[in-house]
Amino acid sequence: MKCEEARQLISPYIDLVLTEKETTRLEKHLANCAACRAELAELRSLVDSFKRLEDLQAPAGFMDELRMKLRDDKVVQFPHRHTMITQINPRGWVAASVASVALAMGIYISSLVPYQVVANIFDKIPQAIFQKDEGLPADIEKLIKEKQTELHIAQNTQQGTSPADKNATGTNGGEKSNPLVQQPSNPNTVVPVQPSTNGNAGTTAETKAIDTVNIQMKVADVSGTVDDLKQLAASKDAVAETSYSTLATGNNRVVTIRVAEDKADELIGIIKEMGYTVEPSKTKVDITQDYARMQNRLQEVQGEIKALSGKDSLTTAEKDKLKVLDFEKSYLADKLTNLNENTQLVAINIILSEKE
Amino acid sequence: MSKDDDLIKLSTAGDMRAFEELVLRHQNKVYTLAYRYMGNEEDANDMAQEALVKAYRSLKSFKGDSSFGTWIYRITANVCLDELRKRKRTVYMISLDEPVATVDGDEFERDFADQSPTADIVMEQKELETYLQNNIDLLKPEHKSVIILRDVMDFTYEEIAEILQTSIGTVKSRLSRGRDILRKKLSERELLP
Repeated sequence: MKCEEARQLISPYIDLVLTEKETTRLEKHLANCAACRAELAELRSLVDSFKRLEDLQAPAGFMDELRMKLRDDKVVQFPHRHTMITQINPRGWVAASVASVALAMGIYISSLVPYQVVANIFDKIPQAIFQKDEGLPADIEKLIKEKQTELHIAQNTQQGTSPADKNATGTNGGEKSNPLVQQPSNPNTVVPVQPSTNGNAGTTAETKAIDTVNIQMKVADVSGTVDDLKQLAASKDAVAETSYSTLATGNNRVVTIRVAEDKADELIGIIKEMGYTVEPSKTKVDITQDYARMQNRLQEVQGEIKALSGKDSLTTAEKDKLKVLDFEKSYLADKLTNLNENTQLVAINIILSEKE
Repeated sequence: MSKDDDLIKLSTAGDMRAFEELVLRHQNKVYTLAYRYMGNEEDANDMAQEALVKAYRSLKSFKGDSSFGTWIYRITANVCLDELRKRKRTVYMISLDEPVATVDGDEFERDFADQSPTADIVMEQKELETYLQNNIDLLKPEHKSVIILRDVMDFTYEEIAEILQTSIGTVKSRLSRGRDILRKKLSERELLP
């Protein structure tokens, strides 16, 4: 064996991984070669010096730091996560917050149809529905949903069309259209408000508002994330409702979690850990007007019910009308109670859209 | 005292305290391993933390083919190697008398003279540690890795081959090469008997 080959074998020799044959050959060479023996001694010494190295101590606070990371990790261990987190720049934030307010209004409309829309539906409930004794509220809800969809389409169409386009496509050219049939441009004035028979509700109404936080998220699996958020809400004794944003485009869902004020920040923190695309924005959604309109309508309905009930005999049409009024009354009463409860809670809107 | 296996079962079921106990048992070794790779406290801390978070996330995939220690050190070694590769360090050493001195894996072109203990001083533990660490830091990642895994962590050739996703033959030759570079370096300084 030559020195060159021997030197290749010294390292594995120290580790006792040479074959018996290789070991014998190397040892024979070493017995006759002082240079290779010296190299073996040096290498052994080097390996031994590594063994003399002691383990270092993990720094103070190592476990605390890890604990925090794991806690965060646990929070974000939602199977459907895969969100996209982007850096926020100040200019983007301004633009985003404007969009966010618009989104908040869109959501608000979808979860609370301006009352006039509902009133119109009650007027148009097909007679056939009243021939069934059960399931009426569900049918009415269905109609409301349909109406909502129409409303959303109208809104989106409106927003995607410039005034010039409207004039160009309008049958009357530049002629002014009737303001009562014109599509509104602002979600809060979606339906023209008819003058209240009870006078000026708006001026005397108590201010009602819902604290709202909007969080936008891009996820790989929208419906999976909806489930995750529902579970999360349940774990915090909060209620989660889902809807579609009227203003976001593409495959989207909005999960609204209504939670007590003292738990809101914690929940927002957890949701933020799941990732978001725009810094969450806080707004107050004013529902004073809608609340007052519904209250007024409730009074009207109650008045009509009273008037009809006072009659000695009712025609079939009047009987049907009374049924409708009864449903409308309970619908309104429920909605008002609901809204009152909602003003006591923080609404967290998580706007989910599909990641490309 | 519970065995690692029992703690792993509890951890997998969501018992954080069990996982913390596991970490306490292995954190110094994990940190030491990361330090040997990275050569400074800050990076060592970051890599050790990242390795343990990774281990926590993939606990369910731990099948018990090796000991928990081996498994977690393997994760740490890979986290460190990934980081080193990411940094794509082609310049390993900057000396004071030359603008840049490089190690191309064959020879040290320049000494770190100001950090080398003189031959006539008996090396204290701390000095030896610093000196060895400084020299490990100068090695290319492939040589560094095998030396750390074999000489510092005492992994077998088979285990190292598995961690580094390479053959036993490659481990053997890299170890031989890496050790030889260090041996020559220390021999020049008359630090080896």
